[in-house]
Amino acid sequence: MKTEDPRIGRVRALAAAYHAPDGLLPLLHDVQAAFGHIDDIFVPAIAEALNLSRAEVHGVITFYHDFRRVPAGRHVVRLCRAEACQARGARAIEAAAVERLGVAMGATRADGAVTLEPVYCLGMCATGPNALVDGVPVSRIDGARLDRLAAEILA
Amino acid sequence: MSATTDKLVRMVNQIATEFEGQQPGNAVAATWDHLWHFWDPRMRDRIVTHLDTGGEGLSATSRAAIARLGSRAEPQSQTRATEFGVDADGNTESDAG
Amino acid sequence: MAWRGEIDLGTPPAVSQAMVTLTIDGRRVTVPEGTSLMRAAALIGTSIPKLCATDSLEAFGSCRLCLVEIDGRAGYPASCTTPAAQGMAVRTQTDRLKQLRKGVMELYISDHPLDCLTCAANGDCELQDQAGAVGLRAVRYGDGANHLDQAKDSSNPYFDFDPSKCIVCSRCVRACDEVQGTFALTIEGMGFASKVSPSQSEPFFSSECVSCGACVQACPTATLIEKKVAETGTPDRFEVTTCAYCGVGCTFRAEMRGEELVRMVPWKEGKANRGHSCVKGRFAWGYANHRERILSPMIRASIDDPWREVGWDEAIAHTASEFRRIQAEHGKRAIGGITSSRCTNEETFLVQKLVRAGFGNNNVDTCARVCHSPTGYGLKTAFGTSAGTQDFDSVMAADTIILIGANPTDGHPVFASRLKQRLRQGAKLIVIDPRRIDIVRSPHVEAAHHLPLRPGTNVAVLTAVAHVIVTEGLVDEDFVRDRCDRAEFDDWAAFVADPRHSPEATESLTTVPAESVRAAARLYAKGGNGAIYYGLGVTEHSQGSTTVLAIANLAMATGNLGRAGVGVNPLRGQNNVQGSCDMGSFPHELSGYRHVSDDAARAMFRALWGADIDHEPGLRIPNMLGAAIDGEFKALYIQGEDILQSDPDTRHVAAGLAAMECVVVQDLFLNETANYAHVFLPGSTFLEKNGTFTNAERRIQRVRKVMRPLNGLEDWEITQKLAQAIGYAMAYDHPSQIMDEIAAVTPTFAGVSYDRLDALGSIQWPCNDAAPEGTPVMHLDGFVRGKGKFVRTEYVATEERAGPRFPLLLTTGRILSQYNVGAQTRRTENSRWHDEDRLEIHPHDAEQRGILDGDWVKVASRAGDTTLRALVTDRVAPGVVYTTFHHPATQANVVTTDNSDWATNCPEYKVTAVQVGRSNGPTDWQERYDERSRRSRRIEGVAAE
Repeated sequence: MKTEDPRIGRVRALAAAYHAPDGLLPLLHDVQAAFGHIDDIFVPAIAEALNLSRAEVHGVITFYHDFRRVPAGRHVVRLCRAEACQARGARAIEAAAVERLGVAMGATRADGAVTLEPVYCLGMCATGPNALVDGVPVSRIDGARLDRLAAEILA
Repeated sequence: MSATTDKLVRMVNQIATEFEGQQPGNAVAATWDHLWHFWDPRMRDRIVTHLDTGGEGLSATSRAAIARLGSRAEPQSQTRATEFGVDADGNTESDAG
Repeated sequence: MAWRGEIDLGTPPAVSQAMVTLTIDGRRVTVPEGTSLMRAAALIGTSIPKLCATDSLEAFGSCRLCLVEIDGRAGYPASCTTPAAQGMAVRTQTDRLKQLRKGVMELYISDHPLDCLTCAANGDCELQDQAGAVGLRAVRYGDGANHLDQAKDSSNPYFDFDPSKCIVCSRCVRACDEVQGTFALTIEGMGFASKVSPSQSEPFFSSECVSCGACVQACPTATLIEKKVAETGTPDRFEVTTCAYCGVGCTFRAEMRGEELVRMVPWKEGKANRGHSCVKGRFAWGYANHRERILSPMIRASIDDPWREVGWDEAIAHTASEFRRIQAEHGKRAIGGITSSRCTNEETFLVQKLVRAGFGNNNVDTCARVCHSPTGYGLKTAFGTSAGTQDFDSVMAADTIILIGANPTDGHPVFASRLKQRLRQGAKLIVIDPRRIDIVRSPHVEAAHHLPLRPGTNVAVLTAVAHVIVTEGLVDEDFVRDRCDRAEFDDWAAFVADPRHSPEATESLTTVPAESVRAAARLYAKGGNGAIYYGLGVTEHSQGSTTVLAIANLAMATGNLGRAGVGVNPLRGQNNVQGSCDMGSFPHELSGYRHVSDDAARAMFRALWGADIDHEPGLRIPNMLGAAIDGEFKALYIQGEDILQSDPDTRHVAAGLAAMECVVVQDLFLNETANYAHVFLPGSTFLEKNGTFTNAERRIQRVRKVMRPLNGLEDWEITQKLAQAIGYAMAYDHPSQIMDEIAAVTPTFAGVSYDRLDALGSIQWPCNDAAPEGTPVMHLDGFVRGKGKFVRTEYVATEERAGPRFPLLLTTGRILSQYNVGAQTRRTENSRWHDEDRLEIHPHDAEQRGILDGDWVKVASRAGDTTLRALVTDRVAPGVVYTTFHHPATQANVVTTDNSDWATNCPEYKVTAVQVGRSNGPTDWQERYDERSRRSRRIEGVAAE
């Protein structure tokens, strides 16, 4: 028999606090908080614990952009693409960010340094272009601010 | 004892044991009735012959039931254990219900 | 997808007594409250365009094609999700609606390959139909993003999944959830990226999919489509017929092109299956054209000779002359027959008629001997009828369900889907089974109690349940007083109340925690409508009949009989095992379960048949074999049953068959029994004959011939020829005449005829003047026998018990994809799911023996030994091992013993004491048998493969 990935035991331990089916979302949050992502190999254990099918768990994980199936980079930059930020120059900032960070939109750098993702409105439209950098809002991004951010991230 | 006889002895003892639990006090009659209604005449003849030659392995209830079988008396054609849709006068009814 | 012309009302019916009246396009219609506007419109012939709606699934409201306008309401609500209301005025076709629908359809088509002419669903595609219905003539959107380059998944052997044609209506996902209850499909992602995903974006074959076909049926496009349709083209006609696998009795449309079967699609009107199917009935019919099917009669002087192909006349004449010779030399009772529970009622009736009237004895038996004969005995004793009390629909009214010794998700999958639907609605489940079967816990279904008893202790557990019911005052006193024999009840109640029957006293024997037994008993007695469903885990024991009586006792004591939602429900094994029993296949009973000693019944047959019937019972299958070894039984006509593989103690069966002078096997294939046969008569499949099958709910349904028999004759014609050849006249032109004869001599079938079956679709017996349309639920106002009979159920331990030499208990069962001996399913792609039998063993027992998952192991009992590979799992309890018996190479029945039920001789398949150890390869018996089998299958002039 194949040896089980030790993380799966921890997933089961987290799942013990919940009951199907209403426990699925909070459990997914817990798992992502614990591991940074919800690996596909966790899904059978989650499904088993909550008495759901693997398909159902997969459907929920993939429906929400905030659930990750693969680990993110050490830093996560989420740039707003919504209308107000676009009106304030977000498209140019996005192009610049792709170049400075050396990663395509929606991807993680091969060295794992950073993940760049789109987000659709952070609720700070008056101060755009906006971003969340490792969960911290950053406003009025211009070329200089982007340079500083990139330098800190890639340091 | 032949393999077939041995098997019949086990079968009749099993039936007798069951009726001893199910109908204490009536186990001999119930066993006799069952053998008559469910066993081919060759099986009955063989077990009767076995009893006549000593009846090795047979339980007391089995022996009594087989002895009754050997008397050639026949139970009623439809007994309580096997009756089906029979009214008080013995007529076969439909079993709609 | 729906058959062209089949009416799809869009949403399921509403169940309400209250009615509402509204107008749709100015026409008045009155419907039950809760009915959707779409359905209300469809009921008056107005079909509103739709894609995501179909009447087998709850409304979903996603496709936005079925928009309507309602006076006084703003906007354009979807008609599938909008319930009809009193006084509503609805318009289904306005300029604005036309424009909206055309716009929606244009978007769908903009992301759909326009390859209709070469598409497998061309002419049978709802998307195509609806594009026509909304008048789409052009698509303005060109080169935008699309899903057209997605790869096709051909992993399932029976259907393809082509996501490039998918419109993401979710019908497949919903069918898997709502109808099948497996939840194997989902929509992955969101928005434009949404797509159908089996499990975790896997190929269908490796996903959780059980290949029931519900998704394929639900798909409105060619996204999910049968491979056979893609290969052959769309069917052009169909016949409604009945599946020939299990006792559920699903009805199907056999969809044909010429004489070629294109697909089997579950028939929506079918009352047993309600439009659902499983992987066997839906897809596993290819055996009918398998290259190993034998189409010419064959004979041989000795079982060591090769077969010689002969014509029908020679084969029949040879058989008849052998039968006559043997009777002349060894007496009238030296020959017999076995009817087939796979064949029709009419064919079964003819075989027993041939034996009783033609052979002049009662040596006729059927495979029910080895499955549900204790059901016949037990229920006849308790209630007066040898059959289950309910229809399948009844489960939808059950509140508490006891499942004992049955594994419906594998053995009776279409019923299991109904059961799971009811459990998802909130009914409670109690499982009594040594194994943690799937339904104990599977997505959205979880048993309230699982009682994992030690194999062989059913009677002790059920008597303990009765103890709790009686001693805790849970008896339905009114029911018992009105409906049952009081003295017998009092005797029984005193018996079960004895402290030695308490759950605590029997716990060490059964290994079931006493508190679980008490909780289960309370739930069954007081949890609303209580229904008991059971299978061969009840009957195939030394106390099989006693267990059936114990079940009947529980149902009577709690008043759970005589209405919908309750009852005693045997899940019968074979498609027509109920029917074969009804038709008088037992050596002691004439059709309609009248004992051969019944003078009046015999007189009726004598008048019609012109032959005297022996008033003493004949031999049962195991006794026939024993008598053969003793030289008293010499010839056997076996229609459609493989006793060598399916009956217990294979070496005894082989010795019995080898001792006979003329064994005649009538079958589709050279089965294992044919290795010991002197005559082989090629049989016909269920697709090649007319007749009827009777399912587990006593439902008689038509089997309709959709193609000519490849072997030249339907099975009843073969029996008729044989009867004529031995000098007993039979002259039927059509099976309907046989049914007329059955009705004439069988009170419970008095009202049955092919005309009535065609008119009503199906009939549940009893059907007679008192119940002209049949009887869905029996014993409504009283038991057939009069008063219900309580019987003491004293536990008697089987002689087969674990000890130092054989410390483990072997129990056996089935798997979804294979059917019994596998003669049919092994000759289909179903073997891709299950190509060998495995021995399930608990990790503890495996470790003790140094057995790893996948190792070859030897299983030995006092009867024999065999080898197979191990599957290490905690699904079985320590001390218990389990295997299926679908593959002849496994020879599982070499290990099972000649122990049997005390009343019926039904073999004790479910308990064999065994030892298990590592092994290097096949046992001596397996090697010898393999060699015999290879030699025996030689046919003169046909090269071995």
